[in-house]
Amino acid sequence: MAEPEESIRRRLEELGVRVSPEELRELASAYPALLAWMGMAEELARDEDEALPD
Amino acid sequence: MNLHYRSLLEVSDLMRAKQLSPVELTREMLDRIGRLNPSLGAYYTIFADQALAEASSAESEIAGGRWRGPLHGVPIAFKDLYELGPTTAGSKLLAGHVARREADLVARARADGAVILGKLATHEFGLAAATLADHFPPARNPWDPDRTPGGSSTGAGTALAVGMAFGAFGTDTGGSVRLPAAFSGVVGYKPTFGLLSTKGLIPLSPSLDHAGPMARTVADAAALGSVPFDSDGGLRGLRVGVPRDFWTAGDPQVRERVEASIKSLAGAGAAVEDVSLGFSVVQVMATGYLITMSEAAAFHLATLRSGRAGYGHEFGLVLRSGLLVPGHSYVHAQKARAGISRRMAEVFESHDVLAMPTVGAFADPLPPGPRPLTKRISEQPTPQYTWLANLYGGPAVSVPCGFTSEGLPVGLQLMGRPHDDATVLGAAHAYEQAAHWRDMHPPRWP
Repeated sequence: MAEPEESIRRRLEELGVRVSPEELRELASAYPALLAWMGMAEELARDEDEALPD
Repeated sequence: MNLHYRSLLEVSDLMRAKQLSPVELTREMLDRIGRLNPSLGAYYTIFADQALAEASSAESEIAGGRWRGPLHGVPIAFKDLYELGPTTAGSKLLAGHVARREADLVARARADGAVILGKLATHEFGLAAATLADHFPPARNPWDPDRTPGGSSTGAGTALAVGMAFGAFGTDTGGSVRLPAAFSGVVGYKPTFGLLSTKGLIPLSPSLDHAGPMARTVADAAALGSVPFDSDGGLRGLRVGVPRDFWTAGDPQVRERVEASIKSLAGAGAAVEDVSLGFSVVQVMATGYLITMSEAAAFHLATLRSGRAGYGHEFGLVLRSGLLVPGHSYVHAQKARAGISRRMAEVFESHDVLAMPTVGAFADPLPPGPRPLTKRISEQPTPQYTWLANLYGGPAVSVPCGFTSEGLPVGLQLMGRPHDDATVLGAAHAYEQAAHWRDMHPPRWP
């Protein structure tokens, strides 16, 4: 099974949630956009973050 | 004008003056629902006998001089996410569920003497797009029945657009009251977060969920929410910000209609100026979806684990995607939300309302089957300008502002500062009075 399908399957299984091969394919197809969303939120959050002192 | 297209407040005034019988009005509504609903699918459940009994009771009380207020004797309906009788959330999973207690807003409507006609269609749990293959047949757009009425409060948009109710209560997590209002040519009002109780609503994302009234006029929507505003205030001197950097994307016909409506705001005396928000609609939607998917996944996790059958294809995938959002990303999304709220507070120091499209598209055809997940989770989503108000919590109204060349409605959205619902409602009302789009009804259903 190709990454990230295998990684997604493992993470859902760890949570006790089953997923079919067809669902895995769809989740993997959408995953790059999900990662991009996470990046956008992180970027917007940056101004709110209190960074560690140098 | 046909009685079924009168406004809520008009029929209320007629009943108060004893010129219109609540029983006759309810009977006419039930008759219209009986004729139109098989084609349009707005209602899942119709409470015919109970509605007539409520109307009869209202008629007796009004005749005896005990008028309770503007909703007394008025036929309205609730989205099927409100706990009230059979409550399915549009999901096969809850197909047999009957509410044990009623939602706060249902109880309030009963106390106000409203006549409750039934339960209205919804996207599954207020999120997954309706398709022709769903367990519950989808509501259809009265302006073109092959298209969606917009969601997730689909049935409310349909019912109001064809005069199958005088008002409806929807829910709005990222735009679910305003999007169907825009696509169906009616008014959707998302109040300030917390102004209307969400107790007894099946949750999607509790930190973003709102209850929201829908109607054919702004004043009717305000009456449903019991939110007062100055209906004679006009637009003169109102400071209207136009965040064009936020709504650069979208269909040109929508842009054209919204630009024309902004011109008419200026023509009526509003002080219109561009304002930069400093973030994009895609960033806002990403933030909103990350929060929604995470909170929905947490709520549904136990049911997902149990393997209980009944979730639709898209909603099941969205929940699983929500489980793939790590904790730190949820925190980033909430911090992004805090930053957006801070920026909006700055913007509203120098502006009374913001004007923008409700959504950068018009109603699309009902899909034959489940859409691919990449349609929902996308770096180029259909721009929904609604999410912004859910994130910062302020009031927002979608009001009809014209039609595309295909004869499909377009919505203008006005947003305001939290707890200043009256200003947004007043501005939307003034625009509506000047524009007269409210007098347009779907030609197929006179």
